[in-house]
Amino acid sequence: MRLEARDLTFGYSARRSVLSNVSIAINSGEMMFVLGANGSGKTTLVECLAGLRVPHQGDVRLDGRPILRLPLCDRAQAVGIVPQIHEPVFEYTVGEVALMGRAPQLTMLSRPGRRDWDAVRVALDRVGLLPLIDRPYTQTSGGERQLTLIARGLAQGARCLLMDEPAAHLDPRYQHRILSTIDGLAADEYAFVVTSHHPNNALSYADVVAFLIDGRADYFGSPNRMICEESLAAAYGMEFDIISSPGVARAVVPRAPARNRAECACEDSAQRKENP
Amino acid sequence: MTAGLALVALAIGRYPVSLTDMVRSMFGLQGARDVVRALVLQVRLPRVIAALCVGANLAAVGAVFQGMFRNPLVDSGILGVSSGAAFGAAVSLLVLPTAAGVQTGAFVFALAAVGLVGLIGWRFGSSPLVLIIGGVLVSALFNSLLGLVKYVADPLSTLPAITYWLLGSLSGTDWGSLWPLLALTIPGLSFLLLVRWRLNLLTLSEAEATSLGVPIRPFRWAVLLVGTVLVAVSVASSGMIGWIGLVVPHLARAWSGPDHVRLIPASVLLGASTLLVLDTVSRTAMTSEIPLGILTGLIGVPAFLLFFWRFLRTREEVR
Repeated sequence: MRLEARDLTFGYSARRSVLSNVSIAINSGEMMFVLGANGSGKTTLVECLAGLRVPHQGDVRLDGRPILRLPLCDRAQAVGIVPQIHEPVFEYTVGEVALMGRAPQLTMLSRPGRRDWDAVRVALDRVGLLPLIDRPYTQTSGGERQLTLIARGLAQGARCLLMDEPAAHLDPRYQHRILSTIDGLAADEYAFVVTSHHPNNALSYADVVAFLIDGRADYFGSPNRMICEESLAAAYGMEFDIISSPGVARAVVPRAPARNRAECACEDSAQRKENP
Repeated sequence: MTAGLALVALAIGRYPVSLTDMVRSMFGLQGARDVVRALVLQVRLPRVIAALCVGANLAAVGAVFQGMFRNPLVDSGILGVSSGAAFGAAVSLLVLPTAAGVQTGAFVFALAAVGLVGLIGWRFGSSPLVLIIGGVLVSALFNSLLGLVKYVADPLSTLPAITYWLLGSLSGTDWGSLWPLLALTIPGLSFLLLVRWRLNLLTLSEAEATSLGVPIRPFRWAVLLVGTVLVAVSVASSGMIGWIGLVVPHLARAWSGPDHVRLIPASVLLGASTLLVLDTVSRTAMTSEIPLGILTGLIGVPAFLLFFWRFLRTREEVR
């Protein structure tokens, strides 16, 4: 499976375009990180990729076919959206939330049956939430909600999941639990597009990275080549240092606040080890 | 499905009835005394059916609207139905004071009010928030118009009639006025019951629901239309009965959970039985009728506060 944006141009008003000539592609088995400043058009790109917005120019193709030509139902069974965690108004259980992913498999008048619940159980099991199936969604943590929404996407049958900032508001442990869950699924021929504010997570998990800068995706490629001082400066309008261990970039840190320089911190810890 | 539910509703509904005069009439049916028979078939049966229908409609639509507007404070009259109906009824009482005229006037203006809200929503992007604001604005407009009608109405005859209608009552119900109610309630409720799982998806944001393969806008408008018609015909038959469309859905949700697969039948049954009980009380408690609108507030609110309190207490114990 291959999801491809060709020459995508989109704007909310005619004068200013949010995305201009964006060309990116993702294949099954890959995880793509979309990085960029606030308001750089990451969410818009996700919505275009899912066929929720009609681009002014260019198109999005699923295995070569324009996604907007596909019926809504078929589209939903191929490409799913995992939204940012939201506070639900009503006390649905985790299982009921994941069950909503079965909508494209069901006709207007039918109700989910045993087959659908089986799919939900399999999906919750994949993300490690099966024990919480009857827990009210409102009584789960942010990380568990994000995992529930991933399970909903799996139950939907989509092989390509678009995730809008899955790591936002989560502690490091849950960020990595979620990203490694996705990583495991990607190895199983799923494809993920993940928008993020964390270049470091991209360095740890991404197969492909796209920077959205002024609506363009000129930096698009492997994380080690694309996450560089030049692209970070262009994306965020500030300087970054790249910390690499033997030839491989491991992390980026802002250059500006020099109070604890990376090398000082290293020396300190080395000293502490020497004098216990 | 619907037939089964209707049967259950009747079975549930009969029980409270048996506590009152009604049961003696029902048994009288077997005794086949003509007077009793006429009383039951011509006077009480239509009224019981009307109470069941109105209660079911208000509660079910309240539950649906609360879900789709993602707002637990919404009730079935949120889109200006009640205010429109009140104005329509008042105008009819002024110019064409017959039972059928009042019913028609209330129904037509209830639809007109929601039509206006729909127009506002359609013009400004039809998000739930726009519709709620539109509903508030249109309600305010029709309340002012109602005030105007009251102001010009004859204070000795027409004004009391308007006031009495506004308090809500099923006392005038006969087979003639029941037919429109039944004819719209059965298909309307059937629709809501058939699509009830899908109503869950209306509680999601538009982008989310669309990404799940649901053409959300047509579906939302269809549900809004059906809900509006159900509430309009109910209010036109019964006058203003507040509160059922707000509180019964909450009680149903506490009982069945938020999943519309169970919530809608629960609201239908609970709404129908609640209004049936209240209406029975309203016509038997005192020698003259107590208007339903007064009773729903007076009995209903404390009763439901008690229910809620007990529900919360039991839930605390479970945890």
